[in-house]
Amino acid sequence: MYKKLSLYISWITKTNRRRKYTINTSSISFLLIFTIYLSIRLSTLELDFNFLSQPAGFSMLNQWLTDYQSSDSRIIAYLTASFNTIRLVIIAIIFSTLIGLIIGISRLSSNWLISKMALIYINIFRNTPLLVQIVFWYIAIFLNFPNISEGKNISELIFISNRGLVIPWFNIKSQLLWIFIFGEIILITVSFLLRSFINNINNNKETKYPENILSIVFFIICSFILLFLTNISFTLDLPTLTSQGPNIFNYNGGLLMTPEFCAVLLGLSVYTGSFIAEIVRGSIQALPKGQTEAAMSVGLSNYQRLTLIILPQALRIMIPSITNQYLNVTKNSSLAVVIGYSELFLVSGIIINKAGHAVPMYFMIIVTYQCISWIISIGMNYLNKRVQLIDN
Amino acid sequence: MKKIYLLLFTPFILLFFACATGDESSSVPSDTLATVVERGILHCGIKDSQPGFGYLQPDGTYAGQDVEYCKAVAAAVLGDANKVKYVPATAKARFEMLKAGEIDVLIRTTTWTASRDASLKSSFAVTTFYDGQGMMVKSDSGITSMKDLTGATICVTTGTTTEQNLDDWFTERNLAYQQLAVENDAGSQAAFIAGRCDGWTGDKSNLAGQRSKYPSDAGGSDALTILPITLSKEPLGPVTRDNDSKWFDVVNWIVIGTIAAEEMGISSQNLQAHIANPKNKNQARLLGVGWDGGEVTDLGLGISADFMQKVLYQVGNYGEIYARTIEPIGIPRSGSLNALWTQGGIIYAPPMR
Repeated sequence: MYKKLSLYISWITKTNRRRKYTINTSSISFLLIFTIYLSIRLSTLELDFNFLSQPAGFSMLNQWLTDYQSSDSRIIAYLTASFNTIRLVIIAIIFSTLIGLIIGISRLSSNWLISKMALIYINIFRNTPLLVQIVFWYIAIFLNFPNISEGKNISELIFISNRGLVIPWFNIKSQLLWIFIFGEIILITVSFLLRSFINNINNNKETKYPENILSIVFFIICSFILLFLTNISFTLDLPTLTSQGPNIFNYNGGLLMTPEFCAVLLGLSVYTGSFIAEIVRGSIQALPKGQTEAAMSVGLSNYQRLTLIILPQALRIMIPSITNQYLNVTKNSSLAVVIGYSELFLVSGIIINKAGHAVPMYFMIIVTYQCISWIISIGMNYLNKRVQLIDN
Repeated sequence: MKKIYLLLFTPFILLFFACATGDESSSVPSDTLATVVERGILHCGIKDSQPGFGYLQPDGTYAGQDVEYCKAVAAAVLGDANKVKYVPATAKARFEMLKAGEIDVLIRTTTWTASRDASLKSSFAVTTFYDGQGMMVKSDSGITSMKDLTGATICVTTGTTTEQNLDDWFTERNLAYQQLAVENDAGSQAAFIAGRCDGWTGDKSNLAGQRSKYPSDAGGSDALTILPITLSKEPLGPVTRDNDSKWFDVVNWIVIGTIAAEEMGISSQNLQAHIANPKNKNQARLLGVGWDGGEVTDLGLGISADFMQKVLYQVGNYGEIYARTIEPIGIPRSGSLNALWTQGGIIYAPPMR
């Protein structure tokens, strides 16, 4: 049997053509079987989403720009949680990029202390699991802040305790808020169109109009008109510490960032930042040394050399790898479930437990994460194309 | 060259097999009783983090009321209380595990509710413990009633019906509150100790269990107080799959049997005397022995008629199980709903005849 099999295998792999056939047939058959198996499995599932229209019946912390209440339907709860995830991802991406850029450049600094400190940072945060880091930040740092009754405050404006960090914010009051937001989106598009239009005119003319300034001025003026038309009022929303019972204290007003949110955000930013730092360092080092020397020889300062010569070229190399990191942030945000930040995965878990229907719910979770990831990769691919085009 | 055609055919041959096996995609046994007997071991879904009900002890064995009932089912069906494979089931996955046939019976502090019974395709056997949702606060907080918790932040372990009961209580009274939902008891405990939450809600049995193992450097169990209020009814009992009434009956009547035995005063201690000399016909039927030398009554459950003998001998009656598992975590039985109906509780066994 064994001899026969080995003979058969040697016969299959003897020529290139046979090899190709073998690989093709086996991969096609595998794919076919897999699809058929999946479709059979999926057809036996009950993908019934009616349960999502029933009232959710649980409340949620960490709300910003949303006003979900426990009497709302489950789908609203799900969308609120999705928004929580998106908010977390966006802020974590911004922070991790900043951290990554700074640490990555410091890593190449000629200053021994700075470069070694960056090295230590990268090694600490890149070599420990993110889950451990998030729980550590939460339990060891944010939960150890003073209790709310003994919390610190900075001139009655910013409050810090283990119930969260509250900062002054503003209230937007208007019936036409959505029209305003919609109008702003249109305005941004129009401003960009205006800019490219002026660019076109500039191409054919001797005297050039300043396209950036013109479009920004247009945007600002139109925004003010829109603000006036929709009658939107901004009022400052100062946080206060109120007590409602013998020992019950609460923050009212302001923008509350819960310790759960802070811990996840810090964990995600710091962890991903260390990876981005290495990408930044690698991309800069991948540039020919001649670029730096040329920049020095024409007399550019250190700062000019970095921002005008090195970073724009390194950006080309780093964008694909950074895209990966951004996608990782999206997926890793689900780890927030362990400390109770009410994001997508946690809230879905609550819904599943109450209503059952785990399979349709997980189906939705997968689709939602897919969508977020797609949007990020589409944006980054667009940016990548833009950067690469300049290369010509 | 011909062999290449053969290669091209292989996917279709494989496809045929895939379809053939795909048809019986439901690997879930429709006759669980037969499956369990054939397999020779009971797969029992339990909780592993709740003292008193299902708890993984430091020595690696499981203990608790739910675990005892797993043993009782194994003793009755297989004749040996040790033929159980304990499968720790998370709150989230438990019904799916049951549905998928990964476990034969789910005995995991699962509350019997209409929506679970109907839409989760499960059948709830007789309640083994009448629980209720409670609220725990720190003793030095000065909070004595739920009203004091207006505006408070409350820790909840997700994966329970607790969030809804909590929300109902506050929204019915138009009171404000905030809820911090954490994935596991350890997380709730860390947040609660640190003062992130003012209250900690859950089934009273669970709260008592958590209170009993509250770290001594945080003040021990005296540092916590369980408020007298009961927010909800939480009848906990074994769960089986829908459309398998044979297996459901077996599980159901094993639980009832332990209660009936206590009503009749039969325990693991005096079992032999009762077998040798049953006091009345009911006792004879329960123990599966002939009355006055007559025929043995078979209840028609599909397991041996003397199954309760094995259960009582190897595990014990309801009272013994309660005293062994739940009493130690500080939930007294007398005066509670879980006392026998003859003693003011609502633990009651339908007649076994």
